[in-house]
Amino acid sequence: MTITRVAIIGLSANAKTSWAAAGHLPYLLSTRGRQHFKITALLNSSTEAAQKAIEKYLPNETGVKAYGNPDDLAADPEVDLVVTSTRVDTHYDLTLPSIKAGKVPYIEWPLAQDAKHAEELQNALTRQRKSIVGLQGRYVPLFEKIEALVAEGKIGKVLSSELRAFGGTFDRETLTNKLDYFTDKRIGGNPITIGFAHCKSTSISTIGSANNH
Amino acid sequence: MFDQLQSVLGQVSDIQSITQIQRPNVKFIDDAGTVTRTVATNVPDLLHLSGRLANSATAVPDAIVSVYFRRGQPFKGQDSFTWTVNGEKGEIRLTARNTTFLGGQQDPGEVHFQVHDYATDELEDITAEWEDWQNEFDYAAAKAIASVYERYLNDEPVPTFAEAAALHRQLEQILQ
Repeated sequence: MTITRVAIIGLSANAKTSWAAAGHLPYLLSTRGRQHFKITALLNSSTEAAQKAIEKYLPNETGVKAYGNPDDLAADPEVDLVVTSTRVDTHYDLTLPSIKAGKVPYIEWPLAQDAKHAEELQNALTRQRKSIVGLQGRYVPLFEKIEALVAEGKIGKVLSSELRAFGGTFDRETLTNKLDYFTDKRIGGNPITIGFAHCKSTSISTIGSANNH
Repeated sequence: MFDQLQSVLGQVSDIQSITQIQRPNVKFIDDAGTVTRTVATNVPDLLHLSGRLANSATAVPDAIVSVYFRRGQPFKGQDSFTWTVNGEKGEIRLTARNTTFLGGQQDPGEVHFQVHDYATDELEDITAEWEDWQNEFDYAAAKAIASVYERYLNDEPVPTFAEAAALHRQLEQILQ
């Protein structure tokens, strides 16, 4: 069985909890996940930060490299798939070298800070062109079930649909200090691009500042 | 949330949107909950959009999709998420008390998932469960992300950069 070698960008030992840890590690470190995937590298803001993350999250893993520079990660032949879970406006710079090097990218939503950068990342995909974006909400069974009900004709043809939602953040008036970028459209990560487009997450605050990965 | 709607019903086009910044001064709080500063925001906290579903075998031409999204809590005691898909013979309704995202880390609270069949005028409860192996993981996020990895392994469709770029373009249009 071929093992896909995985690098994670943004598994931070600093944050109280980490989205990458809560979302990705459960499967990757499970018996089932280990049949097909092995974590071989972490990229953080420095090799020291990566080393701390290895000690915190992967103490029983062997052969995990610590990188502080996206070009060094891109040059590592023992990485096939690169998972990125950092503040949205850092995605582009952190992932472009690996994408150009032909590694398969798995980037959390939003893909980039704006459509222009998202398109550039898409265009940078090499010939094999595989890519993954963290829009995993599609695979929640409730939604798959609605799709199945419609497909089987349970309600006949769809005439219309209404969605009414309150969320994006916990509170209508406040934000935690860690989410200061939520008030600036240019950063690209805010209650609309994240909460409306995809999800609200209790751990969004842990994706944190641009430098803290 | 909008991505999940489109994933189920198809792409929404001809989108007209209207946004508002209801609360222009956002209060930032520290871990203790104390307000440390107030910042003016340029990000809307109220969004309403309408559009039409693309022609498809499962929808009538020009089916309207309507979305209302307000940042923060709902009216006290009411649901955070209500989605209806209205059809010729009946309609589907999915609600969640606590969250708009049913694939995250938060407990959704009370969830109601029903079909109203017009012919019988009956309500039918619908269930949809994760697979046993996915229930090994605590959070819906971890279960859903596990699905992504397995779909990738099995060469099944996964959300791609092309789809993400298209969603980005839609959002820029919506937020204009």
